[in-house]
Amino acid sequence: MDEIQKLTAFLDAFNSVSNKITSNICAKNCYEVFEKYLRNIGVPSDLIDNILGEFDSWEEVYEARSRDEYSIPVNAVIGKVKGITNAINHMVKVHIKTIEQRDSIDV
Amino acid sequence: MSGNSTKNASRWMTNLKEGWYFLLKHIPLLLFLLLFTGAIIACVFFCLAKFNPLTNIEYVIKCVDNEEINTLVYNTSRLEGMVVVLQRMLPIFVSLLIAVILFLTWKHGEMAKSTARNEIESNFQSYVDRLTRIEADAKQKLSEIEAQHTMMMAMKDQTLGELLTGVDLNLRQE
Repeated sequence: MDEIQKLTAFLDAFNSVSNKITSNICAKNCYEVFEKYLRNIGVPSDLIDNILGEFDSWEEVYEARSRDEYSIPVNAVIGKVKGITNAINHMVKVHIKTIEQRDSIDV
Repeated sequence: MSGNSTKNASRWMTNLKEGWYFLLKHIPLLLFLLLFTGAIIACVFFCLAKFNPLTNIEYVIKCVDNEEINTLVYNTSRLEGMVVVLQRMLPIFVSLLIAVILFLTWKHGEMAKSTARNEIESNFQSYVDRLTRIEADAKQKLSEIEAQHTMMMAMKDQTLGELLTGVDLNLRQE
């Protein structure tokens, strides 16, 4: 599998988890998988910790969201998840484009 | 200690207030029952009371061929008795009528008031819910923009290719 395919597959898997979180259809462990993806791609730890905001863990986020979907702290977390997803999508897509351009020059 | 007494006083005041509202709410019913019962008792007393003709019976009955015939005086006195009864019954019927009108008006007024109050409360709650949702959406959008900006700024100096090198890109959702 070449690099572009790997990146596309990664992006699909990442977006799938992110969509589950934003649509509120994910299980408890879904949030942790999202965090693993972020760590895996090299997002700095302080940025990942910042997503949780006033919560201490993803479990707390999950429980707070189950209690009240429209609370401000929960919405702040979901907003950050969306923002980081957008940023990663943008950056990976730019990277894919760079690889494509490089490959076309090589050919 | 002072906190407890303040709490007790507050609870007592709340109970008193609730009792007062309960009384106010049921005044039309109580009034109606009072008037209605009074009218019924009065009716029973009137039914038990005897209304004899106002004239001596000896002067109003005539014997014709061994047969008793009521004279005009007799009939008139009976009619007078009935009129008296009706005159006495009239205030009772009027009070009954007033009671019914009062009851219905009051009850309907209360119903309309409580319907309006419920509707206002429900509307108010709906507005509060909508505002909460709008506020939550706004917060979400703001966080989204902030996170995206922070992420882009934090990683702008790093080459993504370097970050992705050696990273397990096939990581799947557990």
